[in-house]
This record gives sequence, C-alpha cells and structure tokens, in this order.
Amino acid sequence: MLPSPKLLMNQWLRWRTNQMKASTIFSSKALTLSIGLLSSSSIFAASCCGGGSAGSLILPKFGKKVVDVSFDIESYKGKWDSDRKYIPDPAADSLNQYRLNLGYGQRLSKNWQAGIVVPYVWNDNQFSGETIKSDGFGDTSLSFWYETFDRVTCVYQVNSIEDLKPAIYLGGSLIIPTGNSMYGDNASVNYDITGRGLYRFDSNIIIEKTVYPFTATLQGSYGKHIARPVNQEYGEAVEPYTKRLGDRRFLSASIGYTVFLEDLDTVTFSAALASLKEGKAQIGKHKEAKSQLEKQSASLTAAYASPDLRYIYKASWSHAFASDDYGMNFSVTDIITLGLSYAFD
Amino acid sequence: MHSIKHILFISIALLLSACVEDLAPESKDIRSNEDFEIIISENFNLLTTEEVSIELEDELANYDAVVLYFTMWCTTCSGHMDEINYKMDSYPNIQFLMVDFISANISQSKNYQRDNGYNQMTTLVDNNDILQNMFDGKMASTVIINKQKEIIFNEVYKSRLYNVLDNL
Repeated sequence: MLPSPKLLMNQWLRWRTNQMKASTIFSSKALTLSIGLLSSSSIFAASCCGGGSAGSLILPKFGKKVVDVSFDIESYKGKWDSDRKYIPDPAADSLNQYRLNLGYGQRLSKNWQAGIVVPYVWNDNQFSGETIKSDGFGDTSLSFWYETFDRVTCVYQVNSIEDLKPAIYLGGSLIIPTGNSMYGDNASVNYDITGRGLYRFDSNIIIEKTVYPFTATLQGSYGKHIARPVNQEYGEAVEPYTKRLGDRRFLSASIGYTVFLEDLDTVTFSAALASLKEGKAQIGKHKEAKSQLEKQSASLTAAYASPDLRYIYKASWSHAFASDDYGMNFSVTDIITLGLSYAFD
Repeated sequence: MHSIKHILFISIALLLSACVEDLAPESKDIRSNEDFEIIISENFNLLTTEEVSIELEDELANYDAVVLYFTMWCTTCSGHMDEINYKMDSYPNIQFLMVDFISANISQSKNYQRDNGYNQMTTLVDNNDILQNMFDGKMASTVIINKQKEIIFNEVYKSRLYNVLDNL
C-alpha cells in the first residue's frame, strides 16, 4: 500500500532540497513535463494537403543536454470547411499520418538554450478503395529560448508575493522547409507532400507556475511565414510567382497535477486547450480568398519522471472537436503521442 | 556523447543537402520552349454525378471556355471550390466543371459531393483517370481550355486564374 500523498510529498521535498544543495542549478520536473508535453501537443496537425512539423524542445533548468524521441499517430476524422461546418470523412476512408520526431536540446548558458526537432513523416491513406503511402522528412524546427528567471520558481507553498512569481520563457523558432512540398523537386503528386515549403519564424512565450502539486501554463506564439518564389508545382514548371502563407497565432492554456510515487518518481497529468489560427495566404500582392485556417483542440497528457529526473516517458492525446465552429479549412484529427526524453550532462 | 553530436550534425547535413529546392527557392523561370507551345486539348466525354454526359466540344460550342478543377474533397479543395462557387456567377460565359479524380464510381462521387455541400456544382466523375492523365491532374490542378480547345492554363488553383479568364 502506498504511503499517504502528504508523506510522499514531504519525502520528495526533503530529497529535492538535498539535490538543490548538491547542485547550483535546480530541476523543475513539473516544468519539464508540462512544457514538454505542451510542446508536443502543440504540433500543427498536418493534413494530406499540408505537411508535418514538430513542436519545440525545452530543457529543464538543471539540464545541460537532452535527447527527445517521440512518435505521433495522427488519425483524420473529417474536416471543417470554410463556413466552419464539420464534415466527417466517409466511414470507409482511413487517413493517417505518423511522425517520428527526433529532438536534441543544448544549454548554451545559464539562461539560454537551443534545440532542434527533425520529424520523419509517413502518410498512410486509404480512400475510395485505394491505399496510398508515402514518407519523407518533415519540416525541421530550430529554437532558441531565454529563461527570464535565474532560479526555479516552483514552490511547495505560497508564503509571500515572491512565491507567486512565474517562470517565463521567451523564444524564437525557425521552421525550416526540409519536408517535401509541392513547390520542390521531391513531390510529383500531392501524396508525396510532407512539408509546407516555406520558412517561418515564430516568436514564443511560455508562462508557467507550479505550486506543487499543481501547475498552470500559458503558451503563445506568433509566426510569420517568409515569402518565397515559386517556379514549379509538383515538378511542373509554371509562370514564376511569389507566395507567402498567412501569419500564424497559437495560444494554449493547461493545468497539471503531479502525483508523487513511493520511490520519489512522479506522474504528472495535465489537460490543455489550444487554438491555432493562420491568416490568408498571399500570391504576389493578392490575398487568396478562403485560405485562412483555424483549429481548436484539447489534449490530455500523462508523464512519468524517474527519481533523478533524467528519464521522462510521456503520452498525450490531442483531440479536435468534431463539431461545427471549432475550426475552419482544417482537418479534424486526433493525435496520440508517445515519447521519451533523456537529460544528461 | 560526442557521437550523438556527430550523428546529429551528419543527419542535419544530409537532410539539408537532400532538400535544396525548398531551402533556396529560385525565382528563375524554368519553363522550356515546350511549355510555351500551344497544346490542343483532346475531346473528352464523361458522366457527371447526375449521370449527365458532358462532352468538351459541346461545352465549348456554348461557352467561351471550360475550367476544370481537380478535387479530392480535401480541406484545400473545399476552400478553392467555395471561391469558385462564389465567383462562377460572375462568369456566365465560362463553364466551370469540378473533376473528382479519386472516387471509384459515380455513387461514391455523388456521396462526396453531397456530404461536402457541392450539389450545385457540376462534377465530372473521372474514375478511369481519363482527365487526370490528359491534363496531368493533381490535387487542386486547374485547367482552362479556350474556345479553340487550347489549354491556356494548367496550374494549381490560384486567383490569377481569374485574370486569365478576364482576358479571354
């Protein structure tokens, strides 16, 4: 039988206090879990018309390096049309995308870190009795983060105003179009598409506060696509033009609860709501009608962290609401993500 | 841990070198002389989802041009079809035809059309890939055939399509 949560928590706090004394930098387990999972759940749902991309990777305060491997299983349920109406896929159709995301994070200095996530994408579509499969690299994400805090802001109880201070991360991400897009040499049909073909720069902010065992997180980002010249579509030469996808806004809020286990390892559960919007695409100076995108989703995550906080196993389920008004021009998908992070010096 | 770094750097280098086209896109016009040659469309005759026979030459006898839009009923296609549906009334002399190139039969195509809310748009069922092969049709491919049966536009859907129609 497990000891009471309060006893476990006290044990864990004592152990963590010793850890703090032994190290000049302290770890933030809840931070690691919630942000890691949130990043994962913020993955933009790629469609058979679009491509794959992965979220950012963030190191905990104590970490110097981290390797993160995750696998996404995204299944398509239907779509929202431009009138925000939900249209289910025919029952006989089965559209799926799988992504293996390989990530590496490196601490650059006390408050700066950088990370890279490279996805590999498999499209597995079955419709109208035909099975069509393709695979290739997705779009790569390079991120830099600045931590506005010198010491971890997680507290076990609030004794002063200072204890309410949140952890704030400010970051920038560059999405590099390493996937196969319709504008490049590597996609001759739409089924080959694994990327969007444009660079994008995101400005990101994460605000997180943990008062054990609870954690609340807000994440926002604003992304601008960089215009690119296009001189071919699916390998066929066309009259050159310039294309820019619309600006992208992402907002997510989550709450988490950490359960302390007997061996000082932990399991954290969290729930998040997210909203993603992308403005109209532009060809030349003309904005293309009906090209804006929108998606709202909810996600549940669970993560296990080893007592030394080096290993984190995580699982998440991101669910898009299969109803009218929860999106526009976007596929309705559920995403299951399984992942493992390993932090090392 | 140095090996992890090396593997990572090598992976990134391989990744980037394999995808030069999108990483350094060019504005150079790469169309060859062949691309500027006038191509005359073959005649075709296909059934619509309403099982009405549509023949290109008949349509061109009644309209200034025929526009074919290749749909696979995806989200991208829906956005384009909504815009076509909105704009087509402004072009009464142009025949807009949707081309379903993924359905296996008329019944399936009709279901897609109904479920996606496009009953009002004439949809050809290209279940034998006739048009797909004739025009190298892909998702959102848009083809304009003028009265002389010349293929004057064959690109992924974009609003400059309407500039071409305006200049007919």
